[in-house]
Amino acid sequence: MNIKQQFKEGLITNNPVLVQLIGMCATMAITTSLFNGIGMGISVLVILTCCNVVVSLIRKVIPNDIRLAIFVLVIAGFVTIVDLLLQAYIPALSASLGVFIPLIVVNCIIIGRAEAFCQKNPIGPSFFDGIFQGLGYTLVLIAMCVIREFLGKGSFGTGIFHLVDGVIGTGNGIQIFPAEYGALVMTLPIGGFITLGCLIALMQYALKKSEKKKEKALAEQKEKEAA
Amino acid sequence: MAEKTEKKSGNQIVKLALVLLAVAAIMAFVLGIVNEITKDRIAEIAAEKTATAYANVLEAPTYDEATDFTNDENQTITKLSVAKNDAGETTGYVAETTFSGAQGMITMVVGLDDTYTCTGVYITAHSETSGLGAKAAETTAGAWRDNVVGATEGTALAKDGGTIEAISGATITSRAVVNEVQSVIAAAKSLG
Repeated sequence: MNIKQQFKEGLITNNPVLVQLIGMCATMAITTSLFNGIGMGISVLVILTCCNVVVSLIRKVIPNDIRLAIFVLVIAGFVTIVDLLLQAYIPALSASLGVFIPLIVVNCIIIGRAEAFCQKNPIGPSFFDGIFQGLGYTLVLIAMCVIREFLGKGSFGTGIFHLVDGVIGTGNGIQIFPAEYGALVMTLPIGGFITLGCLIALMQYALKKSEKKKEKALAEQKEKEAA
Repeated sequence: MAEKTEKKSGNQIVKLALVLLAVAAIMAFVLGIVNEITKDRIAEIAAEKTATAYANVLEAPTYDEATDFTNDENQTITKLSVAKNDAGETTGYVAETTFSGAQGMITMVVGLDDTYTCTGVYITAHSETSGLGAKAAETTAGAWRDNVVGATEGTALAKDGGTIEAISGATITSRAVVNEVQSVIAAAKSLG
């Protein structure tokens, strides 16, 4: 398993949200502003990478019977650490993500990767798996935030642009069209479902298309060889 | 033979428990360290936030905590202070409250002047729907919370026969905020 392939898997062919369909709850709930999306994405990336490394490190010493209990313990520990650090150093993010930071404990991306990948692979690949899967998750969050924020409030980058007193997380973002013409439904959970559905559909279409292309190329090659 | 396997499985369980204990102990130790590093800063931020909220709803040089007030039936008022000026005269009341909104608990600071008229509300924590109930927590000029300023005993939402317009699409949140102001007025009056 090389890094390039892992990169492609994390971001595209085995994207945690769009292909594995895991970790959707937080995806739906917090993608209302770009600031939230990036903050949540990076939090998950950090926690996932740390957990992957630790799980991979202890994979040979932990008894199989209680591996899940230990995974959950490790995940809960890292989530609490990140939660405390956010509260102390980025309080605006902690306030706007609220309960969804502690809820990363039960985000199946992390336990899913621990169970499916890290307990079978050495530290190196596990570390990169954490980074790339985290990046894949972050990219989907960012895409959803940008779409929902634009359609719902007509703005871009709430909490990142036009800061009040330079404090991160306070700005109203760049207004592209007046907020009152936005479709409020897009910022509600319903909008999350619709956006995510469309993104998944797009992703599946693109994957199918590239698969067909590959098959076709392969068939042509075979024909040539036969000729 | 049977005895032997039983003994073995007994040992195994002890071993599992010990491994779990060891991992838990390590995690607890790490968490303890992180908590030690961050707790002062977190407390500082919380105090700063409350101070901002107090100054925002009712500016006063000193706030004396009062304990002998009558709380409402759900015990929503967590702290009631009497605001005093430099001469030690009562200029109003500030209450910290935690009550149920539409989606979860709302933490709010309420200010009253000495005639029990609301001088402002400031929501410090909430989990209301963004775009609807969350508008109650906006603190920009002209935000919904300005409508609550001037509320006196008996002031209610327009829907309930009162004068305050609810946030459109968020009647439950608006009603909770307005009712909480009434609870604070009642508690402040009970101080006499």
